[in-house]
Amino acid sequence: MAQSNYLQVFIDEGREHVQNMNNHLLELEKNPTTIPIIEEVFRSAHTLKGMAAAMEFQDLATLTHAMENVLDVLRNETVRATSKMFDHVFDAVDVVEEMIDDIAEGGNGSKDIDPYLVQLKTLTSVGEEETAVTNGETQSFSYDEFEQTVLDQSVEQGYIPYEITITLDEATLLKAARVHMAFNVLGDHGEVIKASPPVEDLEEENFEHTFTIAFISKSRIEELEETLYNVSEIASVHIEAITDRHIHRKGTPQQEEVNDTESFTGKKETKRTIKVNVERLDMLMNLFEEWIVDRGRLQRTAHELQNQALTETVERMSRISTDLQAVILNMRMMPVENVFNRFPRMVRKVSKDLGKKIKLEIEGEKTELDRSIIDEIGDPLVHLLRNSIDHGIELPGDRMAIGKNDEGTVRLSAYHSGNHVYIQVSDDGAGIDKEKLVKKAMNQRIIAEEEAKTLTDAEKYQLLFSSGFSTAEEITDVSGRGVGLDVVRRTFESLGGVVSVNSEPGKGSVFSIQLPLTLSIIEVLLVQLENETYGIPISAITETAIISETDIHKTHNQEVIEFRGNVIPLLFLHDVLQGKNVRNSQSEPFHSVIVVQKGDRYAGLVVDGFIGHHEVVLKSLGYFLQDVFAISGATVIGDGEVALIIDTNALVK
Amino acid sequence: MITDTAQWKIVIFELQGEEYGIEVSRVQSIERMLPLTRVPGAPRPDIAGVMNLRGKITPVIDLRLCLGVEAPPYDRQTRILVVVGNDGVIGLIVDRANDLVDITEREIEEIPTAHEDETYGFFQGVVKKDDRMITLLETDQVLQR
Repeated sequence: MAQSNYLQVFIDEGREHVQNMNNHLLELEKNPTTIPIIEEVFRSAHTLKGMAAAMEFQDLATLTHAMENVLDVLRNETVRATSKMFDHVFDAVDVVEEMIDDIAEGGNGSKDIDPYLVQLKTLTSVGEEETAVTNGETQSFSYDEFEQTVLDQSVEQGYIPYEITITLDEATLLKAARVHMAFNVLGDHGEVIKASPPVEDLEEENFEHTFTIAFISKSRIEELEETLYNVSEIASVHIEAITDRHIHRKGTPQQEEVNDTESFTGKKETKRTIKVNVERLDMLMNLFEEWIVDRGRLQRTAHELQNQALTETVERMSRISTDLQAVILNMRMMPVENVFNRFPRMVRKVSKDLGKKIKLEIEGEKTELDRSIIDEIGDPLVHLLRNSIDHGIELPGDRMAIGKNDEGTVRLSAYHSGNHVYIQVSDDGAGIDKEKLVKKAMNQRIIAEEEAKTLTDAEKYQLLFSSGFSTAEEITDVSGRGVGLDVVRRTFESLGGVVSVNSEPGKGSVFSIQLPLTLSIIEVLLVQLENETYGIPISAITETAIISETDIHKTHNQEVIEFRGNVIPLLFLHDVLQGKNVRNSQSEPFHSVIVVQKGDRYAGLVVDGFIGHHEVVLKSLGYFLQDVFAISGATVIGDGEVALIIDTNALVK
Repeated sequence: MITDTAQWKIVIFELQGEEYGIEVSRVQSIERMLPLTRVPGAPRPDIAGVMNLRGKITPVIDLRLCLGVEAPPYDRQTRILVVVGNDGVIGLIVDRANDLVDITEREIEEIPTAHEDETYGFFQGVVKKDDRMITLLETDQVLQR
């Protein structure tokens, strides 16, 4: 079917609309009367409805239609949105999201939507009752520039602009027909400029009983009223002349509202962009990777041949490819807001569930990261945020009791520094009692008693992330922290990230994550291990050194060296990667050592020799070779062969 | 996946003098031996390493080790069948790749039960074609980790 061509577009845009509705509903919850925000949500629901209907996703179309009705009530009636209303609409948005997910996975998005329809329906009927109260007033119209011009000109030509609100009898069966008749009789007196709901909705009977039109005519109010009352089943007619003053009075706030809309959607500057399929970007990236490999080969050949012209050309090529690389990487960069903007919804829900008052502050959402990283960090961040709300922030009563504001603050911030992006989740909650943490870790036999005494503060907090610690049920009362945090740490580390915690009891905690800007191109030191070549990421290396055999000491069956005043363990990569114990079989007078760092721990990796510093494209070993110990990926080096990249994080414990 | 009358095209390869077959639609290419990089701590013992297949890092399984036949050293005849599995592309080392034949499903016979060992599930059946005996490989089973 031809529609499969549009399926991906449907899914992508559908998700955007869901996100858009979530964002604007949250915004609306803070300012429930701001019409432009309602309209923004309405537009998304409306577009979704249209798209779903076109793609024949019936349930989705029905549900979004029901949502549209609620929003319409909000928009047209002067009903104030209640908290219950938001809950229901948010529920509906969630269901819409589930449906889209289902469609993305090949389903047809069908779902039992009746309970949601009922919920939404009750909301529109509340609207109806409220309407009865406000019925005497005219509904506010806002006119765009064009309509205003029409109104102005009609006044100049001696017409009088009216706003006419017509309410049909509740029992009316063919509402559209009545509307048609009303329009018909009015047609003899003048012209309809605008209708609310729009004419299409009136024709489709997408309105309750009341509609409003802007009308220009030379007739008097009484004449019009009389004409309209001649149409049967019209219950009431309210006509008001719009004076010049009237239009402008309405026009001015409208202007402001427009500005409002811009500031909250941030769409002020219109950039010319196109959407590019990620797969195509990946393809470009792959081709470029091969280019880099060839560039390396060419550089070496030029170096060997010592030809002036060739060397110069190669140098120029290298410079261009560096720029090219920057451009391509840039194309893969996305602002973290793509992940961050799902959090306000989640925070709202969690804090409601827990009966806590939480303000979520988001900073630096424009900070950019490689798409492949963005895709991964959502879930662990959700975990950290939940953790802060669940265990960090105290209940409002408890907060008041210790002289804090009853509303807790959770701050999510992102910023750039050097070749890294930092993301922080901080809260002003109860903080973490590190001594209690150590005690629990000791009870859990995660650390020995002697060890516990030597821990630095940072190491104590790191206990939160140890795997045995986190899964144990009964320790959740150490302010509960630690549950599942080992998973969080692992995810970030697999992305080349580093997680750390700091806390001040009573004042709150900060979880910081350092992430690399991109995963794809990294700098490595290539090293020799017999006839094999491995790469060690430069970012992990503190120093390289040649040490003498006599510098190696043995403590407790572990070879160590003294390095800048610290005793650090030595790790012979032959042992780890080749299963050979070279220490006994051969004894060289000197060893090549690479000092690597993980957090505040160091280790010296012994190799046969250093080959050199290279910029390489990190490639995954693929699904088939996931989770190979101490190997984080592979790269193609100059001669076309594959070198494995060592994950030093796995080696340093 | 095959209807009764379906014609199968089978790539024939050789392991220790015996002929085996893989459905041609599963084979992406047949490569001469390429340099392999050993992967320390790989999840299965028959993984010979990874190769650079036109810029893509591709794992390679030594099919001889996998099926428990003798694995002579690589020579000029050694080939890597690049097959498409459920989880990506994988290379299979075979002694030589010979031929392409057409068969119909009706020609496929069950594996003689005497064959039933730990590799039993790796085969779909056998085909007698002229004087040749071809064992059909169940690729997905072989590639399952």
